[in-house]
This record gives sequence, structure tokens and C-alpha cells, in this order.
Amino acid sequence: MKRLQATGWTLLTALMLTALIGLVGCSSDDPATPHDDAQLTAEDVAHQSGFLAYSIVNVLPTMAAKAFPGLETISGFSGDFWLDSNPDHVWTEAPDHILTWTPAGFDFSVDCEFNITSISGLANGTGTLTAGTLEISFTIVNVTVVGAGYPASGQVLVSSGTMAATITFNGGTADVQVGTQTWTIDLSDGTLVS
Amino acid sequence: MTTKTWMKGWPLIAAALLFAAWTLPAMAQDEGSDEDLGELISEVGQIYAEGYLAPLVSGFGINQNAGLYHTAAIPLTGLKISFGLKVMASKLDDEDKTFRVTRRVDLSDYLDPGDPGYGDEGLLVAEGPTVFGEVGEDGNEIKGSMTAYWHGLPVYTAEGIPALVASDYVPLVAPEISLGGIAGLRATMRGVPMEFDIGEVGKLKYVGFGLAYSVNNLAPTLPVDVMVGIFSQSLDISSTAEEATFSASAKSYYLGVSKAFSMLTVYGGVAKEESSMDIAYVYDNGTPNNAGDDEDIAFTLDGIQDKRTTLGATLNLGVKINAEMSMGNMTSYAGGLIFGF
Repeated sequence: MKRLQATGWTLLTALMLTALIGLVGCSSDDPATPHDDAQLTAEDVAHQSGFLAYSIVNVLPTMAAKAFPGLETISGFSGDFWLDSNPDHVWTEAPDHILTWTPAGFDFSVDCEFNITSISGLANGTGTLTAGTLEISFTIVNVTVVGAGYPASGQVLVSSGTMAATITFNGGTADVQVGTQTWTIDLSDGTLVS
Repeated sequence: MTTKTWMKGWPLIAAALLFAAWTLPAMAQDEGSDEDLGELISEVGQIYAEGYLAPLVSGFGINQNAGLYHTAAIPLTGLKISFGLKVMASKLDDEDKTFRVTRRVDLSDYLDPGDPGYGDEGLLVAEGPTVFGEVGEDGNEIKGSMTAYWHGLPVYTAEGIPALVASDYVPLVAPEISLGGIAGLRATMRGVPMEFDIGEVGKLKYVGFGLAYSVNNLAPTLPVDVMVGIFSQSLDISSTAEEATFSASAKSYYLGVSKAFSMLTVYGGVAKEESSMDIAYVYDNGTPNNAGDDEDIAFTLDGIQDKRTTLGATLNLGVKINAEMSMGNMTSYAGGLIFGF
């Protein structure tokens, strides 16, 4: 009888411990409601990077002009952004002062926000490009600022969803690498040429 | 259970049933859409519906598998009967108020010939409030969106639907009747086998059957009551206006333990469970290549929870009152009024 009672208490203790362990272990695993990441392909990100590069090469020359501080606009874009010098600095201020443009052939626009500083002719900064509900973030690293033409060197690091891309400026063109794949960007309109 | 106890308890349980029948539709109408669930869901396709309905599927499944017992003590001899009313609620996280579903799709389904991306594969992003998300002010409803992307840029966009009702919990009420006392077995029937109106959600019919066995029948000297059981349930919702049906099924395989201390019984248990919902409706497809066409949509969503741990207590005041909390993928609460064993 005593052995049975001891067995019973052991069983009870084991069951309660199991319940407690289950209580601790039964925390949320998968969420009940999906929150998927964007399932973009490398080519999707490359195209996004192309349009981003087009925005950047149109913004940077404004810093070389040494204009009076104030709001600046760019032909082919709607919206405006702040420009200052000493040091040369361009930045947007949502929601009233951002750049917006519609890529050729598309019906929907993209918004570009940024904060870029140029010292000794090299631009560095960060920003975002928003298209629909997708947003990509970017970091400008030592991109040369020229008053006309395209940057001769420098990179832009792009993050889109779970993917990353690197834009490298080469003067007349730029390359974008996503993983092991590389495309060339036509900087006159941001499209990919190969 | 004596006739005297019955006479005392009947007005209480009738009042509780009336209260539940009154409050459920009222809850559904507070801060809710003017359309019912079937009318809302007919405005969106399957990809959007999967995200929108996800917390409803999991919440109902978790509720169906909650409150299955209030004690592990099952009479070993003598036929006993009990009646009860159980109320269940699954707690929703902030993450369950919004959803985002992304899929690779054929853009021909969303674009006109000649549009950029027509004929190519693209990305569809459906997002917005879920069925229990924020509704917004009158005249300024918060709606979701569906956007198709080609090369990472939007080429198609359409408005989604608002939440059905803003809520932090998914509720469910279930009357039940149990018979037990033969060879340590207890059979339970739960639900209401006829349809009744629950406001914006639609019309509901809910039936479940369970069988539990007392382990004490094999080991009578155990210092605690132990039982094992199985419960299977189905819950059908039909839209009051549209050809929409939502059929939820749930199963639970559980082990329960309890110990009685005078008027108080403390109980706990673990369970393996599953739940799913079959969803069918007619979609008013407004995409460019299908404008005006109705599309029959039918798919199944599985509930997220596959196990739970329960802790609860029952107070015996002649009529029994119990309350419990279960932990799994979602936290759920259940309580009940029970007359009988």
C-alpha cells in the first residue's frame, strides 16, 4: 500500500512537472497570422537598384553647384529637397519635401528620401526608395560628386527585403551585383542593359 | 445531482444562455463593419483571404479545443448527468490585427495586354487589417491593399477590405451535456445543432462529441484523479447574404489530472490538438482580365496550434463554476457553469 501511494505521488509529481515544462515550452512558435517577407528575385532587386541609381545621379550634381541654401527641384522629378553647403548637404523632409518620379512605362510612382553629405567631393549618406508598399534602404559610400556626367567611382549598398545589392559607379555606367549575378545600369533612365 | 439542485440551477443557466445570445451579436456590432463576413470576403481573392482569415481560423480552433473538462474525476459507477455552459476566448496579439501575404503570380491575371509585365511572373503583396483588426472611424475605414509588382515596381493595385470587428479576443460560447459513471467513461456532447444568428459573422451551427476515460478505474489508489480523452467538433458559419461557408473542425487528444480540496478542485492537463477551416465563397473578380466574372473560391486553412497546457480550478457551490487558462501558440481562457458531476 505504501509503495502504491509512493508510486502515486511520484506519478503526480511527474505529471505536474510535465505540465509545468509544457507550460514553459508552449510559448508561441509560429505566429497565427502571416507576415511574409517580399519574395523578390535577384533580378527584381537589380531593377530596383537601377532606378535608385538613376535618382542618385540626378541628385548628386546639385551639391557640386554650390547653390544658395534652400529647396531644390530636379527636372523630370516632382517634389523637392533641401540643399545646403559648407559642408555640401542634401536631404529630404517627409512628407512635404521628398522626391517622386514615375519610371517610363509605369503608371505608379516611386518616392525617394535621403540624407547625403559631400566632403572633398565624396558623397556619403543613407536613404530609402519606396515603391508601392515595398521599401528599399540604401547607403552611399564615397561616390564622387561631379557637376555634369556620372560618378566615376563609389558604391551604393542596397537592402531590399531579405536581399542585398551593390551598385558600383564606373563613369558612364554603373554595375549592380546581387549575389553572384551582375547587371549593367543605363544611368540615363535607370534601366538594365544586360 | 438531485431534483432540488436542478430547480435551483435552471434559471441561472437559462439566464447565462440568454446573456450569451445577447452579448455575442452585440460584441460583433461594436466597432465593426456594416457588412457580414461573407459579404466582405467575396470582394477579395484567395491570397488576400488566407491572410485576412488566419486569426479567425486559429482562434476558433483553439476555442473549440478549450474548456473540455473541469475535473479529471469521472464516476466509476452509477449513471450521472451534467449540463453546462462554457465560454471560451483566445487572446489575439497585436501581430494578429494585421497581415501580409506575398506570392509569386502570373501578372497576366492582373494586367491588360501591353501593360509592362504582362505575361511575366511578378510579386503580389496582399496586406492590411485582419478580420479582427482596427476598423477606423465611420466614413474612414481602414482597408487593406493588393499590389502586384514587376521588377520590384508596382504595376497593379487594388483596394482590400476592412476588418470585420475590432477585437482583442476571439470568443465562443458552447452549452454541453455529459453522461458518465459507466466503467469510468464520460461522454460529452457540446454545441447547438441548429443554426443561430451571430451578427456580422453570419449564422452558426456548432456540434462536438467527446469521450473521456478515468485512469483511476485501472489504478484506484492514485492520490489524484487522472483521465484521458478525445474530443471532435465541427463549427459551420454561413453568410446571411452571400454564398459563403466556413466549416471549422477541431480534434483534441488530452490527458487531465485533478485534485479536489473540499469545495475547490484544481486541475491541469496537456493536449495534442489540430484544427482547420474549409472556406468557400464566390469571388467578384474585378481584376482587368476578369472584370465582372464570378470565381468560385475554395480552400482549407490549418489552425496554428498543435499542443497546449492547461491549468484551472473549479469551485463547487452546488453549481460548479470553473475557470482555466491554456498556453499554446495563443493564450486562451475558458470558464463555465456546470450542473451535475
